[in-house]
Amino acid sequence: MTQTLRFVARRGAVLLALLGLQACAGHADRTLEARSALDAGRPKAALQLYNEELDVKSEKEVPEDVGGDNTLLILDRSMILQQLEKYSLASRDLELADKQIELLDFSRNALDSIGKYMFSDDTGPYKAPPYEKLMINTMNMVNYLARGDLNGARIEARRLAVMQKYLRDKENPAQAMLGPGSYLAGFTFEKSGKPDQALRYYDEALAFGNYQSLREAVTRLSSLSGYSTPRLRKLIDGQDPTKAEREDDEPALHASASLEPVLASAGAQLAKSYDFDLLYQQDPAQAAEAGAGAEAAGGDESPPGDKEDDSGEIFAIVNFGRVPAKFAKRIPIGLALTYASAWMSPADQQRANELALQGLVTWINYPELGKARGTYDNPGFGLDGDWQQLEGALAVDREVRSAYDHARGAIIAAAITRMIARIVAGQVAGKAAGDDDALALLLNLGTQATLSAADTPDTRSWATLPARIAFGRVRVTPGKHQVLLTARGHKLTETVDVPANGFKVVAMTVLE
Amino acid sequence: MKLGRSLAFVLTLFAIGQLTACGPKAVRGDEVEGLDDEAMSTGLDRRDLQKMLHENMSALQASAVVKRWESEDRPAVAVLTLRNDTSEHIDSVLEALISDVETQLINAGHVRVVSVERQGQLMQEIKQQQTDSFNPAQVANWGQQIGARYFITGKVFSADERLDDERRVQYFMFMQVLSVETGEILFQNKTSVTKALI
Repeated sequence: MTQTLRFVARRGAVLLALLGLQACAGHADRTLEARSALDAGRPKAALQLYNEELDVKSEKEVPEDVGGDNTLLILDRSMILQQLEKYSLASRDLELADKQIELLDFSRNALDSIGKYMFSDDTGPYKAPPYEKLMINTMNMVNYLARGDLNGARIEARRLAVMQKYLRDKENPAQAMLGPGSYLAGFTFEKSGKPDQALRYYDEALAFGNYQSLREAVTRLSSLSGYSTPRLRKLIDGQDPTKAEREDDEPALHASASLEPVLASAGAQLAKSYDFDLLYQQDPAQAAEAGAGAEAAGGDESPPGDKEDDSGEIFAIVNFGRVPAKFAKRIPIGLALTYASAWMSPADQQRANELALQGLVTWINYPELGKARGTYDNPGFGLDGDWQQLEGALAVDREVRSAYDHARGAIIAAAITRMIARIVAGQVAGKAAGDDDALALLLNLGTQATLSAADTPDTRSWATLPARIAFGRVRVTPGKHQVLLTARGHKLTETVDVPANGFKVVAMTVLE
Repeated sequence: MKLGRSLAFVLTLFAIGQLTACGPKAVRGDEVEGLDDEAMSTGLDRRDLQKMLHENMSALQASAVVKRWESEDRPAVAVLTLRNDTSEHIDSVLEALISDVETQLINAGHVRVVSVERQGQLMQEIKQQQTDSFNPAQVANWGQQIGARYFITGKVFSADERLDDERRVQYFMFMQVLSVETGEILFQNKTSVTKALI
């Protein structure tokens, strides 16, 4: 009888171990092939892989279940759709994900907490970090503006404002992410004929970045509106609006927003034949010296003179590179304890040290942040044969790094705590077997193996966000203009017809 | 006995693991009783629209402008799109509301409802019908379009706030009747709906 029971126990333990091994692969593994396709410059293949992962036939479909980890896949897919200039589908995906991220954010489930404590961080719902929440509305504004849909862009601007206020009230570290969103919101309201609101948003953007490209717009709008702030006045006067009033004041600009302000200089002439390929590789700094003084067609940056100004505007948005994705990493327990010491209770630390000394814990598995892509690239903005200035709006990858560094200790501490819980659970299971040493060992190991296999590091993140965002603005005479955008070895050429007093947004996303 | 307890312990752990992996399932409206009554998001749904429509149309029916219309022998009215000044993508829902307003006005019979939105398309069609390709006896004639004397339109605003684990969106809808000749606002009514995630 005892032998039969042992046989059953052994089989049971093996079965549990096998079932444990069947636990879902981490998010990074699920999306690795698609991200590799993006690295190789094959966004269509990446899109297809995401569709397969979402169990849909094409990007026109949304999965039956848009919640859970599918929300992240939808977010990932939206950016590939943006790269492929399928802006309305990209908007649909972002709006779906926006709602789901919010629901996941509000979800509270005791079972998830138990799962996180015992099994793995990625057992529970995905809680998007603040920078991702802000980027949903920011990127969707790009989708709407690229289609010339100001109504949709205004709605996204309002949604962004709600999230911005919430995060500001919480003094969240993702403050630099407020800059480009506010810039785009300001542009949206400027072009909607609402100068007061536009200036309010521009003022907010200037709190986080020295956007000199706003100078012309702010000067023009200030003549239409009574809204004025010290930052706006500084910008109009040609000063850096992010500089504090007094030297001993805290700088207003969040450190991570201090991206190289000008990625490409204005004034360099492209070849007369508009053979963009010839000069695409030219260093903008050298080009600026060579062709100084060249002006964009109608791109007079000075305020309107005596004659009636019916000029329009071309706004270039270049999203390029990709933020670092997370991957599962194993580190020795000693190193893990060093990283996590500030986030662990003394009792847990002592327990972990004891287990390490007994040789019961040797490695800790946790999600590490990889490398960003494309951060050394210099994008370009050409207009009617001349290079134009392109301003670095945000280094998203730095925000991702900063958010991760902020959370890393806690993540590793959680992994160590789970490891301790697993060992304790194994010991309890072993003790329950009583005097039968073989059975106790088996149950102890079986329990630990099952729980270890289920412990997938939480590698979930919005991995298809661009690493960098750059803006360029030029006033132009109404009519047709040829626009060139370059990034990561790709180019986009588009002939746009700018109406009198109107605007055109040309966007390019390269997620390589 | 001890073995049974051990197995139960291990199986309980495993069961917790499996339970945490459970997800939602898709259903159809007619499969679940009361599904249409449940708020699914902070956007506007059919029930919100019905409330807004009922309140606005009741106020309109009781207003002086309807009496004016009755004395004018069914003047032409056009219903224009409501301006969406909210933080939600509810434009398609507002279009549906406009269609509901048109339906109620047509059925009430006080006015003739004309489609301003489609007028350009209709004129293009009449222009095309005036070509040699069409039988002159079977074509629509020029000069028969009815000009709207009144516009029904409006705006929707929202106050959207988030605090910790809650989000509340308060919608305020203003419906207006305007005189096309003078621009005078002849009727205005406000309705409100609150949606929240709590």
